[in-house]
Amino acid sequence: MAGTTPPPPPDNSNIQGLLIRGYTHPYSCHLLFSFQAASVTLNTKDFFAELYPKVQSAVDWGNNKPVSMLNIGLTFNGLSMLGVTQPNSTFPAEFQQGPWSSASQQSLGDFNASSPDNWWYNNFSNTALHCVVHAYGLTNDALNDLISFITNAALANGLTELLPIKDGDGRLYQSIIDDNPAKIHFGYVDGISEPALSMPSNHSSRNQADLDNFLIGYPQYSIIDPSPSGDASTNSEAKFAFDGFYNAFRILYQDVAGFDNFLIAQATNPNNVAKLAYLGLNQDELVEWFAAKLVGRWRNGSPLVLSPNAPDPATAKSENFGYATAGVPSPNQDVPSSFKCPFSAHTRVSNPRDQTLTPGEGNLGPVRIVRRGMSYGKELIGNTDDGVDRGLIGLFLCGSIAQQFEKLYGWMNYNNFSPKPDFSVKNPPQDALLGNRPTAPNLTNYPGVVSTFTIPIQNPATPDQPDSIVISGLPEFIQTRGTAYCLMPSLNALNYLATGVMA
Amino acid sequence: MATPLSLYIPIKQDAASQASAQHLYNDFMNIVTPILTEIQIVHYARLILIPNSTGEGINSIMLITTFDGAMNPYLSTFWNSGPGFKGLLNAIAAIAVTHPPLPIVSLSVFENFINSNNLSQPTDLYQAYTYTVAQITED
Ligand code: HEM
Repeated sequence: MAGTTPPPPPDNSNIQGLLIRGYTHPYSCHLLFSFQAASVTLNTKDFFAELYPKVQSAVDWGNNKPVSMLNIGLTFNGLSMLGVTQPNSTFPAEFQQGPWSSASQQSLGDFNASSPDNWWYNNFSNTALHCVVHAYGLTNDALNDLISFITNAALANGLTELLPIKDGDGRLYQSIIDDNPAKIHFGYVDGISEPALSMPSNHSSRNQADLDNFLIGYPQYSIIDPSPSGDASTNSEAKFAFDGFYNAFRILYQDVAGFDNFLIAQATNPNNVAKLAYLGLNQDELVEWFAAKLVGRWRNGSPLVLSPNAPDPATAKSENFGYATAGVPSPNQDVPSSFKCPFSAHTRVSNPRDQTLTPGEGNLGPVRIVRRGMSYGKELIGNTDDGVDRGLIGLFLCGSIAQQFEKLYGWMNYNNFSPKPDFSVKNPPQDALLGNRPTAPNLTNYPGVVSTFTIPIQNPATPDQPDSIVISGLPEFIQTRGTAYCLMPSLNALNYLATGVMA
Repeated sequence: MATPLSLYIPIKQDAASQASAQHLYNDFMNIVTPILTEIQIVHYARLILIPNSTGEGINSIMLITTFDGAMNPYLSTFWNSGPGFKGLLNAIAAIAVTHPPLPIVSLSVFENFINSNNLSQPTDLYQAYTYTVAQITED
């Protein structure tokens, strides 16, 4: 919306903390609930009233880091059960319809084992999930006390707990993998690159990384225009949603044994070993080299653009770099930047930064998302699969699930968003790590797609003879266990659910 | 992937609205050709005027198109394509029997307007071929 006065800054005490603050609590559990009444008469008001004092806002806690705290998300079906939604709802279509809808599945592309028909191990139906409570603790005991508190409140007020995974007690606990620094399964440090979340001061300073693209109710300069953001005096949905944001909550199984064995196979493949002999790396180092090429960062976090030859502690947390290469006549001829970071590397696909985008993507730059995920399931020891469920508890925070989360998923499944030599228009590849690797009959949605990963290389001794390692038949490293689209309402809105009075 | 969009908008019956619909039909190609050529994701697009069953006057406007990419994220591509498209959309909304407050200046209101008037689901599409526009037009 055009205007001259900058929007008022958001009030951190009204925003759930998850968006603005990356929590570093080492223990967390993500509890799922249905408002379909269990044995006791449903009383959601008392449930929210009991939880409300523990809801963490975005106010800086200074030296008083909370020992335990929680955040709350609600699905559209949950909001409907609570009487928040209106006929002809102004909530975004994808939020109303849910991630299993055919429209969302166009982007997410979950089929075979990942199919929405199989989500949550069929322990409950996708539509039964109404509320997710994210519980955090500084110690295991603090977390366990909080879990008891939440589940007791649920039980006493007639909510039904839903159990999303098959191992342990069926709950989603954060697991700690090699905690110095913390890693995710597959062995990478994660959570490095995040949008800055500042507020733009005028139209020309607006940026995809700005807070108004994530928070509902600040449309003036927003590129994304999170909704519902209409007139709060006439639209009760907009009033409820103000200062809220969305969480695409997605549980992704990681095939760690498959991944490790894939890396070893590449590092021992005689053709690869011969082509890469000029690097002078041993087998373990070659494993790390392939791991870095798949993601665009070394496992320690160093971006390939800044540290192309080896991980470097000095760049491990670096966020400030780009992919555009000076002196390349057209993006179609940009081979040089890919010698460092392949075009289909996961971080280059999920945030192509200053890379030119195709005209259909507009000229506002690549969208951003805020990632607040963590691992679940115990670490795999050795290289043989032990049947344990493990992966990523994905919390992908957005102002528009469609424009941000689903847009990036579409890119990951079909690398046609940028004119690049390896992004063949006729045969686009996929994100090396995340792509869903379609086969018939799912191929029709991805015309010409290939499961090939090209790693351009350049031996400094023969700079005029660029070469590449081409890996065909990339495996599916990731499977979807379940997805829920949640609104993370403001504290005012949560207080309304607890009291029936909207401030 | 190709996505079908079948926007069905019943329009007002007063003379000005009826004339405006006819203008939109006449101008449609001129308005959209440069935009759709630029964004390179639209296979076919047409605007049609559905007559009243009495045979007199126009009952509704239909905008029918098939485009590359998923519905949810790529509606914004049209909106962000510039003033030409926003003008067209607002002109259609101005004569619609039901429409959001005018002018439509926000992307989310636009998305809701399209989603609530689109009669096609993503899966409602026969495809003789699956190529994208970019694939077809590449030399
Ligand atoms: C199990 C699945 C996943 C794994 C193992 C994974 C792994 C990683 C790793 C290791 C990084 C580099 C660390 C960093 O930059 O913070 C990263 C970055 C990133 N990932 Fe993922 N990821 C997964 C799923 C996803 C999904 C589903 C999305 C998007 C919907 C996504 C979007 C991003 C983004 C946006 C970045 C930052 C890129 C940048 O700004 O440079 N990831 N991921």
